[in-house]
Amino acid sequence: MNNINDIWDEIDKQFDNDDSIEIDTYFKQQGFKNPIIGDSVTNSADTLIDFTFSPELLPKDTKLSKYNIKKQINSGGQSEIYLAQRSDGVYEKTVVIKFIALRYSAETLRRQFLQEMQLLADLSHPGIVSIIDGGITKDNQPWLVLEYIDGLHIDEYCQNKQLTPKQIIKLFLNLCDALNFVHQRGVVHLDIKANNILINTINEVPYPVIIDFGIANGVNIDDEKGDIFGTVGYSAPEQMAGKKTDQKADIYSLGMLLGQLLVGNSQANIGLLDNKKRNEAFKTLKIKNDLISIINKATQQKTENRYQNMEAMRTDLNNFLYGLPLINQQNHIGHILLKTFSRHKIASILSLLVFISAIGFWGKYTSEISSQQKQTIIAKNKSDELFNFMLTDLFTNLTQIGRIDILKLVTKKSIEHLQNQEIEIQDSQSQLQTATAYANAGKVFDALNLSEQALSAYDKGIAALNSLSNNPLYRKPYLSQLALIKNLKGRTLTAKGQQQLTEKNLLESLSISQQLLNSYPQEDLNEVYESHTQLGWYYMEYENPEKALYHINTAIETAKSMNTRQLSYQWIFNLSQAYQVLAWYQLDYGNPDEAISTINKAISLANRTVDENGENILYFFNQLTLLNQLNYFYLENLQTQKAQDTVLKAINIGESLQQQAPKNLEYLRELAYAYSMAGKLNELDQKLNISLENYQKSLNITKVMNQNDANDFSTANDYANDLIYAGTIHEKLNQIEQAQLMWEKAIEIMNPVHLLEPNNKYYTNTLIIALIKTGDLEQAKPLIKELKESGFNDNEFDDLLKKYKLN
Amino acid sequence: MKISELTQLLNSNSKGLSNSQQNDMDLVYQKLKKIAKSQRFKIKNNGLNTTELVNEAWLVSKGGNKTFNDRNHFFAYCAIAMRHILLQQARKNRLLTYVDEDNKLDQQIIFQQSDYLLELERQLIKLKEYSPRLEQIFTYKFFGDMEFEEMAKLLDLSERTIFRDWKKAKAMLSVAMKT
Repeated sequence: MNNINDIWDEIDKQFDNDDSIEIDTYFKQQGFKNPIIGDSVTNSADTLIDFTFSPELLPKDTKLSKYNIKKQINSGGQSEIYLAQRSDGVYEKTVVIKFIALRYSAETLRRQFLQEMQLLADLSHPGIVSIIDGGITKDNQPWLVLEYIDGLHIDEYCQNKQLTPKQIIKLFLNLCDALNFVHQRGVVHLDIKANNILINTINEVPYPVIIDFGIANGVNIDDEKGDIFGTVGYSAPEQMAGKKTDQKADIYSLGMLLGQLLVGNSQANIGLLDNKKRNEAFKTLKIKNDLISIINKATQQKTENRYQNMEAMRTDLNNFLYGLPLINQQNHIGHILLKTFSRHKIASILSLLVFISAIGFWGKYTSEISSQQKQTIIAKNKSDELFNFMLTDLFTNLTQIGRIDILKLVTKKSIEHLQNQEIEIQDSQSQLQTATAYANAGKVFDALNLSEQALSAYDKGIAALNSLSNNPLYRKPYLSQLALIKNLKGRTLTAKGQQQLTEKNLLESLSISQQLLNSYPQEDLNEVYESHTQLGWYYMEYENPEKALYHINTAIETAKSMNTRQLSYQWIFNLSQAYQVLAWYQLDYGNPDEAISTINKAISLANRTVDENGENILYFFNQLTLLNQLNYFYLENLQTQKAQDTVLKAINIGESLQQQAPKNLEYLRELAYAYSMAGKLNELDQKLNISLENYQKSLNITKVMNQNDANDFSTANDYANDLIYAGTIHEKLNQIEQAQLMWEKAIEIMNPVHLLEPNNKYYTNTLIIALIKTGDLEQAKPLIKELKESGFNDNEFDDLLKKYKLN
Repeated sequence: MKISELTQLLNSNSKGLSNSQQNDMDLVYQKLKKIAKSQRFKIKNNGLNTTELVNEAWLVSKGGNKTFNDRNHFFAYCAIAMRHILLQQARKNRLLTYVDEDNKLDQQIIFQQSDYLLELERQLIKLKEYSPRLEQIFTYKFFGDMEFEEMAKLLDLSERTIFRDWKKAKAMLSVAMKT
């Protein structure tokens, strides 16, 4: 078959060669009966001309379409849209005929289009444009005949009528209804934006109508190729990425649309702003925080963080309209109560209903906690909204009942959850909450001796706070939280033996707390107190008595002044802890009697907290640690009889704590210490079997803890000490082989610790003892010299040196 | 209107008309429609005739219309306008045959003529690629009923060339539409 251009070349030559060829002759030669092209369009298309210019000239019996196309509405767009009049004798209606700019040649696509069209045609809702007819042409082009809505686009309408936010929400709720109706039938719109929502005013009542469904834009292609339409700023990220979409994509667009309507002309397309700028735009227009939170919830980047369905979003909008608490904030019980109070002014039946359900929610929740059913709580974790709550308010509750083990589960889940949240797109309140949650997660990890995880959580908390640093409204919580996290970080770093980093973080924490104190002198001095206390410990640990004493005294003064300001068990507790630090200082650098007297002050304060507020497990724990320390002091002072009494008290408290919180390693460690003390005292009393029994109990605990976190040197030291003590009893019972094994094990544990932290005198001391016991005096000697020079002073140690003639 | 603008208009296919061109086209359409109405009785039995429509339009617009330098320019413009106007109508008609399948519109003469024009348009676009002059001459003659003499003046060519081109264009389009 010749190309048409070749044929035309032929014709061109023919007519050039012979000017005399008559066209009719040519046609005859070609075998055309009638000339295909006449002399004038007047002859070739006479009826069309009449129809075009003067339809009344057409013969009466001319059969025309039931549609009469009036005009093309759009031009140059993706699809051709015509306004037409339908009149087939039955009814007259203005319709829109739309030819979609896609060719559906694949049979699957054709069927899909027709199915969806049928589905939409069956949807009868005042908020959805009716599909009257539709199909696919011979050229594979899909088309639709739609009801014509003679109204303004929703954004123009809101602007023209100058609607208030509440009026906009009212209008918007109808839109939510329509979309919900659609979603419930498994249809997704996928192009929600102002241009696709018209306001149909019937009897002066405006009603938004959704036009241009995805199907009407050819969006229903989700398999073949990424031929996805959408609108920048409105379409959900997963849609823009060409991924699979569902109703949550519409929720995203709807959130953006609401935001756009609220800001009106002040922003061209809020969907193009980053979260921070968008929230600023809302704030500038004094849009209520609750409303902003609804928009933020709807427009989360990750689908799982959005409202999961239209109904949820609609409910929150409705709640907002009537001053009810929002679903997306039901994690703050205080928020609900606050709302409930403000709502009672309205005193509507609805509000009472929600009040009851809110209380029900809370009641159910606490009953689950008190029954301590892990499984239920884990199941509950699956609900996104609860995570942050779990790590904030719940944290305190769970630590009080000592369920660190549950907290561990909660924390792991919550950390996963927190990691999925994009901090940049959260509002300030959520960012603060996230930071708190991370801080609490860090505390949990720290309590579980999982120092790496703890440090990572703290760093994430600090990162979350970062975005708040320049927000004047959040100055106080920002400083307070930052000081707290730096402090916590310092504590964890101490346990890891990170000398410089610990000091750095603690000093930063102190400087931030002082900033806080300068700006808010009337506020609680917790951050200042914590910073001084931790610095006191730190400088003692690393042999800087002057600095240590300064911080300890400041901590005591702070706690005292807070105690005169208000009656608070927390501050009594804090004061007892501050005395505890002082007692250790006095033991190391002063008089042991003084130390015993100070620790007794601390214990009497601790007793007060337990007697007057016995529900807080932390107060019991404080009692236990103080008793253990008193014991140690007595032993140092050789007051064994007094020690015997206290050690039994300590073991009692410790075992009861163990029952309440069997997986709380911190508590267990103190209990181990009490056992170890009992071992020592019985050893002194020559009750070797009871002594060994107690050492073994202690050893069992410290061994597990050491296995749990080998990087925690303090735990390693405890384990090594228990091995040395138990070994010594074996030795005394003439079980030399067992004794040797235990001592060797102690050396094996302490050698790497000493290498990594040579300046810690306690660790060095432990290693030396183990070395002496195994008879490795040559290795012990230089270490002893080192330790002596650091001013280490310990009766037992001195006795040992004398015994082996090493002093 | 300058000849260059006319060429520009001719060069743009109907879908790519600029807004102002489209507005001009709509004005012409309204004018022609008005004329058609007023001529209704004169031409009742023969249907509308392009020549008469255009002649009448020229007479009507002559007084106030300063857009066109001369009658030939105006006629050429009208030819292009006619092509566009009829094409638009033909398109709508074809759309109607799609959306109104029940009425079997494709069996109606108006809709058959619409299809014919649409097919002709397709071939004209090809012809323009092959030879813009052939397409131009065909348009002026077929849609505007312009005389060979008028076209010769307008395009600054001999009447003989114009006539030969017209024959060529008709032959070529006929063959193309046949295949």
